Amino acid sequence: MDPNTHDAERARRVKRAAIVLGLVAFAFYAAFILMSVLGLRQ
Amino acid sequence: MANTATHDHAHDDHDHKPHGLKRWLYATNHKDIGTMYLVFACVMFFLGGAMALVIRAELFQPGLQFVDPGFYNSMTTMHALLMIFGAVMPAWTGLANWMVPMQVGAPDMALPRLNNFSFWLLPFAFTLLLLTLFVPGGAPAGGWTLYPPLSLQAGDSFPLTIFAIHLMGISSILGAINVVVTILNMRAPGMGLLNMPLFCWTWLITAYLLIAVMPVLAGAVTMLLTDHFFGTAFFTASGGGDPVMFQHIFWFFGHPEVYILILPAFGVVSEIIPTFSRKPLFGYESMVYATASIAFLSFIVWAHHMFTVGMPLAGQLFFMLSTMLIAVPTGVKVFNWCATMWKGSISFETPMLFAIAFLFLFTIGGFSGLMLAIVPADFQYHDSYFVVAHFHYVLVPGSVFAIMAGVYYWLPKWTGRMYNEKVGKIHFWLSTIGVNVLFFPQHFLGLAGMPRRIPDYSTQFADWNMVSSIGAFLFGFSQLLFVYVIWNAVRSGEKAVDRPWEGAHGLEWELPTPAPYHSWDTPPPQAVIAKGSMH
Repeated sequence: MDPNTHDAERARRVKRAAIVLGLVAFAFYAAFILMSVLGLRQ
Repeated sequence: MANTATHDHAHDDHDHKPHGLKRWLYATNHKDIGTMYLVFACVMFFLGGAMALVIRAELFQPGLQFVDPGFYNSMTTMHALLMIFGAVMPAWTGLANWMVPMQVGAPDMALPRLNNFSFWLLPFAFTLLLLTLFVPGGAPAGGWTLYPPLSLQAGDSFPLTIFAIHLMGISSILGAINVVVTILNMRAPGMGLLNMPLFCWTWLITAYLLIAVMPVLAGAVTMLLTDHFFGTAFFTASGGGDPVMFQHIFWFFGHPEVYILILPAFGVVSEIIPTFSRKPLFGYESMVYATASIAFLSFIVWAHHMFTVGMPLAGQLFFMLSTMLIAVPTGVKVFNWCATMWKGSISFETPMLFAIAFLFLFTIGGFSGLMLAIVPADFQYHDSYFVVAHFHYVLVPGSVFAIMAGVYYWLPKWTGRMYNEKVGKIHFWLSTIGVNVLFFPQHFLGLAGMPRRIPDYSTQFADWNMVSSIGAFLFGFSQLLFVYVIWNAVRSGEKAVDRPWEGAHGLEWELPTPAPYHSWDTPPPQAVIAKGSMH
């Protein structure tokens, strides 16, 4: 694979992985707040 | 740019460093950012240490001699917040920044600008936190665990503390994302995951833990904020909420957090012991699986911090058993380090001394942890000095000694100069004697019934408190030697060779010493990777 294509592909993978992990982090944040809110309503 | 287009690639490793303040403010180089994290951690370690000395000075004798009880409580709270979030975690992030790219054959971290942002959040966050010492009501004083309703009764410090914690959390999460993405995407060709040094494995697993649990802390403190300012009642009983729910949420973060503090230590020790035993690490794959098991199990033990809240028996039994289970993979690691040394050709340079002390003293901390895991026993130990002794054994001769071991081990690679071995050994012995004089008596105090977080105590606790305080001042002042050793090495240490430690293996030792500003711009050849990996 041409080095420039390899770098571009890797940059895309890096960006995608970072976004996914950021969303995972946000999901944990939102989930615990949501669980606490739903827990109060019971 | 024309000058880079014609740049001779044979000079790829030339030190084209930026200069002045911009070098540090706009740093994207993993070595510069690593240095900044380590310097920041050192400053916070001394500030947190000063707070510890205020605590131990007050506890030297029964009676109130130096500080008022409210300020004493602020000292215990701030000491913990500074040490955990300001010293240990940034120190590990600094070591990761320095070493992970060099060890996996990458030119830098995957996201250099995010790396810069992650670092610079910290001085801002800690300025906010330290400012609380000067606001009406003083610094937070309800314990680093921020349990409501007490934490909701803090004065003007409350919003500053909550905001500081949010910022520290964001810094850790972004740093962790960077580590995961770097390790998964930037390894040199031929560097499989099971060829990586164990320090990279432990950091990969730690980073996943950070991504999962730092947001949980953020959620918990967000709910504290809304309870305080916006009329919600998540944790307020009078509003239909539950203070114990905060404890569940906090410790769901808090237990994995303590593994975040220790897993990189396991990685560093797994690098140092093979080097100075001149033998490969025993059971590399089982070490990886043990670390992953510890991380997984860390999610299902949280309520062992809350055995006395009135949990159903089934819950107490579950958490007791899961907590005892986590000792198994930890034991595997301890046995593997011993097996690594067995019939090795061992030499006792300063990094190895710290690593061996870690092995022995962390294990003592682990034993007191096992005692705490047993529910009926914990009913006596909970909130006593026995708990304080336990966690200080795993954190100080555990994490802190491993950080120091790592600094001594890699300092020649970073600076190109050797530290003074004789003064390093003096630092080691003073620290080891100091830490044991400081914390071992606290086991006796806890078993005798001395509670935690008290500025004054009954006279029957006087003798061991005096001994402990003497140890504290010995340990505390010995750390000035550490700064002296590093300062002296940087300024006038003997020039180091590329591989100062005969038994060292790993890609970082294939680089020149000091490591060039830009390293592995050209990935290492497969033969070099194979040579660097001894498993």
